[in-house]
Amino acid sequence: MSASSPQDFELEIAVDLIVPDNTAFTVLVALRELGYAALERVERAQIVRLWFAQPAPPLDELVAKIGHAEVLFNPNKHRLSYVSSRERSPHGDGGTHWEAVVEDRDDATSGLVALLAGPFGLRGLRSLTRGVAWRLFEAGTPASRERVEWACRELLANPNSQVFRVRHMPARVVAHADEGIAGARAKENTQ
Amino acid sequence: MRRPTVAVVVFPGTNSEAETVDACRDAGMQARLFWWSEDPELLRTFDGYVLAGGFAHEDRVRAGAIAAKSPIVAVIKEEAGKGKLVLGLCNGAQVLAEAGMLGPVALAQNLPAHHFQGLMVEVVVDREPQRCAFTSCLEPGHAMAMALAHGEGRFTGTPATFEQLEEHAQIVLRYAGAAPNGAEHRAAGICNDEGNVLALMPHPERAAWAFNVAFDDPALRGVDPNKPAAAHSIFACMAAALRATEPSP
Repeated sequence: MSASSPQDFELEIAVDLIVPDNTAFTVLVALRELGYAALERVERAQIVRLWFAQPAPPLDELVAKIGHAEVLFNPNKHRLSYVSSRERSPHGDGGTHWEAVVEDRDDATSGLVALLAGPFGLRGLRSLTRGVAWRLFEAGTPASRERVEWACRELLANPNSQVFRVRHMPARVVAHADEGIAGARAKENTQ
Repeated sequence: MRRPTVAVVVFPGTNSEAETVDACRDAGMQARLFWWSEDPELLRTFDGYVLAGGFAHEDRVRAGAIAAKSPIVAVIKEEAGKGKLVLGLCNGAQVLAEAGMLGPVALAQNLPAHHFQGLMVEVVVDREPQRCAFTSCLEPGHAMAMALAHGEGRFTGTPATFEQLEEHAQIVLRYAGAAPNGAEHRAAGICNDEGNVLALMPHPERAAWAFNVAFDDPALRGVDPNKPAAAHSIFACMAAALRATEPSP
């Protein structure tokens, strides 16, 4: 696996469940038991950041291929959304939705890179990282950054094997693989 | 001779409790299942605890993470602080690590496998078995067949943490040869600094009798199938250590 370089094209995808997320519900109950009584809802997404050598294939082609890569995405139970380095604001969407991204310190991804770049046709893929994004809500409003950080320290991240960062949730484009990715690029917040 | 009492803790998703109770009883302890829904305060009446293997709370978030926050584990942690013995087997070991009972050590995803692994392994007692209650009756180099069955069993931490574990001889059990799960320092079992808590990733209770391991060891095929196998000694050591700590009458 080649390391990514600053010139690489970055594509971040988020994979949410469209069926009930039992893990998110378990976290909701656990955080309440740990004292966060005001917590009303927890959302979770798998985050994969992919780096492609330039010139990268067209974005629509990449998203379509990811939509057919069963190792990342299953259209029967997932929703796929994405944001690319061409669109991303360094400050996220500027809104008030904080999300924590938790990653393993020593995740080994070279096998997955080879699989995606080979059989699944993601040309130019050089490297990737994986993590889990968590969003917390109180009475319909997003939880504060401090609360999200607290949840990471209490439960969502193990400091001995993982790292977390809290950021503004980026505005992502929702893709619908079964309709053809290119035809479904309505800008839509995953909320 | 009084038989020490042991609670074998069952969380939703635990699946190795029956053979764990059998192994404890066979080694001379009074063991009973302790359900997650019972009053945690009742745990204080037991002499020791075993957190059995399985997938507590379906391993949601991380293996052992949810169970580690439970009131049951809070009581066990307090009792361990008083010197009571706690043995965590596989998922139980993950619970102990998540609860911080081993210090800054984590159990992370198997590498390079990156998936669940199930195989028989040989585990060897390290240089100072007497520093841990669960190996104190064994000799250095004593080898035991055990059943490895996990996807997140790689002991990991910073180099400084493992240097300290080595200095304090807390890695009391190691895989013979390379660790199949990529564990740092080939660690299969790590005890706390006091030696009364052991987190052991492979299962001794699934390899405690001849009938468990005879398929892999032709020498055991003609013997009584209920003859204790090498891994049974983990429970025998626990029983012996508990008896040794009984107050004088």
